[in-house]
Amino acid sequence: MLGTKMIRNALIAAACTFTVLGAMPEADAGRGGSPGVIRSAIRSNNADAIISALEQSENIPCNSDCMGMVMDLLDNDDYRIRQVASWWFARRPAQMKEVAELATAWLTTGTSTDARNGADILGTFGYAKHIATLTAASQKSGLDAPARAAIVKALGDIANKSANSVVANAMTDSDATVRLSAVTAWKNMLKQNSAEPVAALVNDGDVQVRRAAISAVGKFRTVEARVALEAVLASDADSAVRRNAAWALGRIGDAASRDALRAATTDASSLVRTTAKVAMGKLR
Amino acid sequence: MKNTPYRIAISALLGLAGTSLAACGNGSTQGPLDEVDSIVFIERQSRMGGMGDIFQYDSYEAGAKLVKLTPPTADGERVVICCDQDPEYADLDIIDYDLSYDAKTIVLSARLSADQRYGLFTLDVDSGNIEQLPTDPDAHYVYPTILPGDRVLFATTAVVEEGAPQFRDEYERGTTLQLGSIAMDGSDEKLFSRNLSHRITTTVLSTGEVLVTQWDHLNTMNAGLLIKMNPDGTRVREVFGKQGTGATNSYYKTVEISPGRVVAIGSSRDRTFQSGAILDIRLGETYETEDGEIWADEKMSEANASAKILTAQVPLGREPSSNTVGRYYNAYPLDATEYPNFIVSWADGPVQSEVNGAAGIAPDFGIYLYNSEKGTRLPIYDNEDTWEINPMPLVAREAPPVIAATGADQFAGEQVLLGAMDVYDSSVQDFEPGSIYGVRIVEGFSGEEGVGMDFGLTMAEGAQTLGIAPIREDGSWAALIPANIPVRQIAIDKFGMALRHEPVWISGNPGESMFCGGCHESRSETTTIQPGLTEAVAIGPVDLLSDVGRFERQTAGNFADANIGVPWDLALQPIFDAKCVACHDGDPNKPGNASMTITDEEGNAQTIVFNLSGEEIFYGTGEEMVSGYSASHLSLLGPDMEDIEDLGLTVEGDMPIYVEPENAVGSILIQKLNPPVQYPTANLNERAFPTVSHPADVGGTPLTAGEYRLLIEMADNGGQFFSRENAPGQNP
Repeated sequence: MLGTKMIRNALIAAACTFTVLGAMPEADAGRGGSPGVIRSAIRSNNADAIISALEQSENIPCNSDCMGMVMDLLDNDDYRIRQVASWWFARRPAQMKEVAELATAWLTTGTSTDARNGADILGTFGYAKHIATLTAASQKSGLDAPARAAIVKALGDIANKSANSVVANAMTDSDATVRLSAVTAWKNMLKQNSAEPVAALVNDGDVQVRRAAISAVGKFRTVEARVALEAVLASDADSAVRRNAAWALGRIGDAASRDALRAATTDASSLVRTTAKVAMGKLR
Repeated sequence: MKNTPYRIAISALLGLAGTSLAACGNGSTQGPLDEVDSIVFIERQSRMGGMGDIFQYDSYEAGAKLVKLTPPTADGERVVICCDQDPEYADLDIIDYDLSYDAKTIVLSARLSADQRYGLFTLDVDSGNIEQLPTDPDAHYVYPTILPGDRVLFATTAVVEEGAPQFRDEYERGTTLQLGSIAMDGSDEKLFSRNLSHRITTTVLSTGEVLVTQWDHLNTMNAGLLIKMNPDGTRVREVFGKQGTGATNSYYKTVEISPGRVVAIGSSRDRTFQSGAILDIRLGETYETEDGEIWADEKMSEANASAKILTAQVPLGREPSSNTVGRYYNAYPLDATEYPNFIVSWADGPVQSEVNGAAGIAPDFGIYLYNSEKGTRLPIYDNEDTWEINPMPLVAREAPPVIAATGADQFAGEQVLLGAMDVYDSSVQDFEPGSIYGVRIVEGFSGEEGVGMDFGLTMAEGAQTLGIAPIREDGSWAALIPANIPVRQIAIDKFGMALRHEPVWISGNPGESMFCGGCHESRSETTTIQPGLTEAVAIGPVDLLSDVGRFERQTAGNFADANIGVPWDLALQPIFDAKCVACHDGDPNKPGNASMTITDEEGNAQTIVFNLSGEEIFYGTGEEMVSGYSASHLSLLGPDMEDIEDLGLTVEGDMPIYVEPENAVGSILIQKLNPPVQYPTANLNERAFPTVSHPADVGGTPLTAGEYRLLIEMADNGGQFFSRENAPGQNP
């Protein structure tokens, strides 16, 4: 018996095809939005729809109701929604200033969730003048790990090397998510030319931190990490860690790593073998 | 089993289809898949959101598989060929794959866990052996395409320029994907020069060239159009989407049907779960071969390209689709007749993020056989709990020829030689002979360089002027520019104003020569080359910061003397403060201070008065509505009149928009100031317009030639507030 769905699926559609010779539909960025579009997208509770609606509405005039809708998104549980809402305000300098003041207040006197949200806002805005606020917040006691991680992430999003010391300090945080955020932030800094503080995390107790730290020292060709990388390549229980170590050793390119890499070409993991083999070819 | 009802129905329908074909066709009972023993497809976890727009790639849900179906019917044997054989791949997600020409190897892009990136893996089809290719573990590698010659083309977030951040579009905020290739054994990874925004989903043409979807984001342009290039990333050419040939906003997931002809998915950029209508895109003039195939490889050019919509009812925009219409995720051609058969991935219903999101029901993509002539869709395989996407016949194909890597140009070294033989040879504009002084080359960048999320009251991206290459007497010009960076070319007159913008970012690989015939010369006609060197090459190409590092490409010293960027507050505001603000201070009673009053439907009104001071300024109706970076920036770039009118606001007053981004000659500001000759040497006695010059006409202090140049560049480059010199992320 054919079900309803199958009948629908087998329905013959109109066999109408035509060649289009006219002008392409408008491809303008930031067009077609309205408070109604934003409201409808928020009701759908679909992150993609909300993101799209705000992108469409970047330039629309907006009264307090409209602003309020977007303001409410600044503390949404979904980071992507918080980020696009921050971006929306970043496109409006007057409101951006007010929202930045709000974010500063959240970071200074708010709860951990407030601080997280405030950090996300300032990170999205990307202004160096907010580094001081984020630095002060990083030293505040009583913030939970998500807040501390968001603060460090925001510094990485601003990408100004003047925050290096704060980010390096976060690499000693007791929480692995904060240490991971710090490694990523370090890599994101513009004009960064060394991963020296990251090298200590090559042997971190958390596997995700190790993976990230090893790729960072590879990115910056941190020669000082070579010995630690060779040890990790030989003995780490995680195959992705070993893979990253092989890759990093290839980036560093020191011929002293040849034996370690050769041994890794017969690693039990398919993630490691080819990486180690190719890395050998990059040794000087 | 869950699929049993489908199996019975599908077999019956295929039987009906076979009968139908026999009755209506040429008497043959052969179906389009009869010679296909197996198909391969991705079985991916269904998802409601997180796909993002068509250029996003990092969606991850554990549990994807690569599946072989033999025969390609719902009662075929379903075998998981990747990656149950290795427990390390238990939490895999797969975004894409490609099949080698001998059908023995698959290269897939997969993500092993949420904290890792999409990487490349090779799979031996017979043995099931998997190996990961060595790529940067901190970068995504997606959309693999196997090239002839045992290489794999991919899109990646890895950066070709050491120490540089990857472009991050300040509008869409995603880290961009760029192209590169790697040998199948994992060696010799090469990253190509970059577009300012994404490059995704490639296919190899029968010529050996590669067709790519490129996001063109340049000022208000925001679309995914088609370009082609050599497999080494050189010789990039636009092939479809502009010059009035397009059908929708973006074209992607292309597969060649026949020479010069591809199938693509067409849709808006966002909200459609990266799915859309099926388009038959012909890159040139079409003709029928002796075998009855339709080819389109004659006189291929954007002007001659066309698109045929093969799924007429599928929406081309963001709007929801409807039941029985749905949207298509992929289409793979099975023949090259006028109306090909395709094996497709399709989902019924709205397939739109807002509607599906409100209902809490994800679309269900399954595999179907699509007859584009009749518009019929016969189900092959569909599991309601998963998405079945990217179907391909598991058959060997003829490999296209290998195109050898382009050698380095003798002039270019590690830089790029850019130029043209005759700038006056153009298919898009008639230039008066001698009217073009030079070509201004402008480097583009995005928010990743510390600008944050906006360059000002403009849609334009970041712009740093590398310099001007003068036109020689034979019409030629040549310049050396840094490799791997996106640039725009602007033909300028002796006043420094743009005569023509080339509306696309281009970039070259180290040592590449990008020497055009003219200024967007005809793509379908042969370029006549006169024997001998062009004058520009004989004299030697002009060096435009070709060996200056990215972060050093900033103005040092007085902007009016020589500039690279045009930071509004540092380069222009001092001019306004010294020579304009005495009159243009926002006082409506002073002459020359036009104003406008904007009123909303509730009667709230706000007046904007022309003001060239550097103070912060706010405008609104009742509450804040429009904001400017400074009074001068808002007064010159103006509030967005389209948005104001779209929302039913009324505008009264006489204040126009004084600066049109990318149009200095058409900008009221520039016309009012009436710039002098700039090139080859400044001449304040010869002016661009027959009118008087301002502010000298009212007894004010005249602008210097350098000050005129800055204002013209600001307008032609896009009207940005921020440049590298005042990027707020790098300059507190």
